[in-house]
Amino acid sequence: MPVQIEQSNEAQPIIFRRSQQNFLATTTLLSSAEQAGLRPQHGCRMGVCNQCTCTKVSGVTQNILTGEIDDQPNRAIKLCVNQALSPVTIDL
Amino acid sequence: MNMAVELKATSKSAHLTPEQTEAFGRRIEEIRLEVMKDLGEKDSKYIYKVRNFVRYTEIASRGMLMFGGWIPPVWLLGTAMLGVSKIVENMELGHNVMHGQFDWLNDPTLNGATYDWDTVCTGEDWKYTHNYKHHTYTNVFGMDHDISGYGVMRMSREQKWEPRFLFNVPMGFVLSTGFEWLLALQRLEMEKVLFDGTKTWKEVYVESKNLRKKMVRQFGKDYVLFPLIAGPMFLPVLAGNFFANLIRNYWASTVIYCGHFTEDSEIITDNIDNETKAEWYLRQIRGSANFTGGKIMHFLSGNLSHQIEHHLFPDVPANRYQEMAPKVREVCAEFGQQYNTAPFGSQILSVYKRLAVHSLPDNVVDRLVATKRTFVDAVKGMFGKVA
Repeated sequence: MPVQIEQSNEAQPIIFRRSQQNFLATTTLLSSAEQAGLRPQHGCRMGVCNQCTCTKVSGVTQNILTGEIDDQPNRAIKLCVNQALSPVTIDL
Repeated sequence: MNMAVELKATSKSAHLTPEQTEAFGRRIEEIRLEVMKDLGEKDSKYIYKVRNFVRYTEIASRGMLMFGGWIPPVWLLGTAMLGVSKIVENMELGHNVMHGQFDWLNDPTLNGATYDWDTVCTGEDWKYTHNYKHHTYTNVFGMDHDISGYGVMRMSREQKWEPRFLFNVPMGFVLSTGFEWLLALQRLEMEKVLFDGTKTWKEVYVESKNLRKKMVRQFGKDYVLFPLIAGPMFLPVLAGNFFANLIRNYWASTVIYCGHFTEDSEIITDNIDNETKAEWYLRQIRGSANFTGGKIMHFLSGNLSHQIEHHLFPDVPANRYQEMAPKVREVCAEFGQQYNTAPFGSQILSVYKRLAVHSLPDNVVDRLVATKRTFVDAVKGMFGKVA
């Protein structure tokens, strides 16, 4: 049931601003963060429950359920169904 | 495995092959996308209007209680209005905002991650028990705490009968009365301490840290702060706040019971590990029920009168469910899926009938049903002779 993607186009550097963590993302932001040993709050892993929603400070992300691309700063995104298309900073 | 195509013998929905299920899922997805692309000013205006309604009715009703609480008709009106204000805040504002339905507005005061509502349950606990557990594992036995009667009622034969379930029906009323407390305490799963001993009170105490803070705040607001600043109106304000909370509890619980506890809401016992999104959609429809009503009914129920649409699209602004419902219903009809809807009265009767049936051990129920059948046949036979 959890949303999974094989591999994104390119690995993108991600910064979790408040916890001062950096990692490279190749899959969804949530799984990539977990692979890097981080444990962001989450629930359903399918874009339903809104527990992993956090603020994207900058960067371009794509919602893999809808294909929607978001390039605006300071937007709420769900980590479990978004992947990075550019370097991304997250307020976590 | 394709769990969603497994059907109980009692199901009123048609069996779908995996291909049909995927086609069904695509049609549902289209309905969602159409609305998501159209979101804009209309929806933004709507939610701010709802928030203003909550604010102004709360100010007006608290004012009435504070200054005119000693005049019985004013007290009644103030209490009723505060009840309505709390209902709308909890159901059409808080519940929807916490699902992230308005995150796209980028307004930090309407952000699903940080919003907290006017009830004892903390926003954080709610997002775990409701947004995550209940919405992801809807009606899956052992995973969705709601469908096991919140641990204290018996909703299906899957739950083993115990003598305590004889009180199923009165328990339904008790939970209604203290509904905000039920929601608040749900995450702590205290029935595990009381009935199966798989948890200790110490664990409950540690887990309840944030809840205890919120309890003090809610209790302090309605039963200490507002009564105190009302001075001589201390008692009318205290009583008004108490009954307003009670009105909200009865209404919210009744609406919520109708969502998944009606007789046709199916319990899912299959393994759902490899469930596809289309199967997930199918499960949401089989486990949820709508009720019909006018615009005011939809507004006061926080659009949970469209429980089916809410479960398919929990992050779509709820003011859109009304226009989505006929389309969902059409797709269901096309694929032979039951779209469970009925007037409010029949749905709530159906809920209490289900509670009554499951309050007795299964063999007793079976015997009663058999006896009734023989009796009906006998009566029919008698009249047959007379005629």
